[in-house]
Amino acid sequence: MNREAMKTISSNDLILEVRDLTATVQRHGSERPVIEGVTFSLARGRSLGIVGESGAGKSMLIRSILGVHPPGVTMRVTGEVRLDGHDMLRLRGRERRRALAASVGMIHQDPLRSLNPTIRVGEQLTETLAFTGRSTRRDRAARGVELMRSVGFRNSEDESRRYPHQLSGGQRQRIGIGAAALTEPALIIGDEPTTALDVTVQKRVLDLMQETRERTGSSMLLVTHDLGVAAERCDEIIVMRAGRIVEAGITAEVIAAPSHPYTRALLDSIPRLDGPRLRRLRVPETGALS
Amino acid sequence: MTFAWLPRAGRSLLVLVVIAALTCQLAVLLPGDPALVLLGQESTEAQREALRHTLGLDQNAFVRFVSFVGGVVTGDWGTSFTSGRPVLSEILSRVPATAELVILSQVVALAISIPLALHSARAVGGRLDRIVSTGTFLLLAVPSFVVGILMIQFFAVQLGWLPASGYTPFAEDPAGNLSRMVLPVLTLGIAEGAVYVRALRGSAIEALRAPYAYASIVRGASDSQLLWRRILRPSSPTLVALVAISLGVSLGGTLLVESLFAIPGLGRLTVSALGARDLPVIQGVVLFAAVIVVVFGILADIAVSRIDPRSTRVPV
Repeated sequence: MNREAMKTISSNDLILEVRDLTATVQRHGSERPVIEGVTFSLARGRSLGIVGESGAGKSMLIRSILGVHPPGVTMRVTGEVRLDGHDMLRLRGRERRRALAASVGMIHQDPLRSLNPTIRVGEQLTETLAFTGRSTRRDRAARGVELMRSVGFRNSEDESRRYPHQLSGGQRQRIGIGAAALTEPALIIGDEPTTALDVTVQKRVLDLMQETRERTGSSMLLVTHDLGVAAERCDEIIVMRAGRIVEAGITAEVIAAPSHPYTRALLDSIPRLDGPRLRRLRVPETGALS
Repeated sequence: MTFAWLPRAGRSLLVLVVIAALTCQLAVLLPGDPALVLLGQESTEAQREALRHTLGLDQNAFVRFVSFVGGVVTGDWGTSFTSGRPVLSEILSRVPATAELVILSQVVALAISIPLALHSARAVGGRLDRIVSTGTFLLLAVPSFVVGILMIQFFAVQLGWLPASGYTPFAEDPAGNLSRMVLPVLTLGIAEGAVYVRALRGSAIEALRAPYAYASIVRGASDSQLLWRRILRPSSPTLVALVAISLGVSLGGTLLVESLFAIPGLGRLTVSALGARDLPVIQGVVLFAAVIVVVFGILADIAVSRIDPRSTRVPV
């Protein structure tokens, strides 16, 4: 099989392929690895949960895949990232921005802080169009109203002219979901999308993400520290700890028979009505992990 | 219609009343007999008595305050001892030169500082950022008249490109007016710009760390789209407040730069009035500057509430 044919097949089947991804933060001449040798892939239309406690490198993994590093931090990323056919670690400038805008929709952790306080929500929802394409203000406004209706705003005409602080937490996150669906991207990434929300709002937001995903046919990467959420919403699960993948597999199998002690500890930490009450996450000795 | 502006207006009025009260007591606050101090040892008792009457020193402080405020409100700000002209027209004749200098230098300061601040914030610790940080510290450490002297030396004396000093009204000779304005405007603009860079850079760094900046980058924003269309506005309240303060303060007269470049503005009027102990002019200049500072303070509050929609409901 020639290379051209292989490329077609792989870009058809796999939305995201990450191979041996390593990211190091460089500071004062020293290097500290934050992601080490991560390899996984995500097929079209499937969903993958990335689970781990805070500091496990989940958000850093997403940033390394997208190539958007925290401001003021110098990072070196090696390995390979193929996202919707784009070679993300090698793309630069305009091409990379276009690839991001077209292929990725992202829902962020803090719905208030991930919205610009000085810009009307309707305008933020459609900013991708303003950044990357030729579109008129009027077209974007109409598109924003339409998208807001699709994520459950009844008076979207008026509500699109509001500022973020004038909406509730759940409404703000629905704006985030609408923005992520704008370009009908191949991949929707949720970076702890429900962590900052009320428990009652969490389910509605996750349902809406699922609906949106079904409508756009997107794959999903769901980053969460909550194994319960990932188990319920994802086809496959990756468990991360200290920048590495410690367990990966089909959700049902991982839950039924966790092979790694850390996964078991995470499973045990899901509160259950009938179970014993634990005060802290019981983590096995670190020696058992590496 | 809300009355949220009332407390703010009340505070501004209070500031003006306090300043008016202090200015009209200036004559008494001078050590010794003010009439003797102002007229000198050779004056006759009759002359001093006449002066005391003009200054209202033969009345009590409250009566003097009321008649001073009454005069200010009705446009009678007193008469200059040295020129014999009304103080108000003395002041107003100096406003154009100062206003032109100050407004042009603010334009220059903003035009230089905003792009520098935004782009150095985008690459904190990068080469541009290090150069800008060092440069602004240097400018903050050196008084603006030193920069002015260096500019005169270089552009006027050595290169001979521009006149070293002087002022021509714009209406009489536009080209002459502008060419004489270049050096003082740059001197003042660079000094102000250094302060603005530091203020805006700090706020922009903070805004760039916010998740909404990350969100906009993932949505395909280029550096300039991100900085100018998404970061500038949330980072600018501090800058706007600084500009308003700076405008208010320097419209009352920029002593050093006006003196250095021989610009007949309010600053030089103040200096010469102080030298001549021209009490009515000193009082007038102080009060005029205070009114401007208060007005620009109010304008700054309005501007900030326009920039940040979250602050619109908070009474200013």
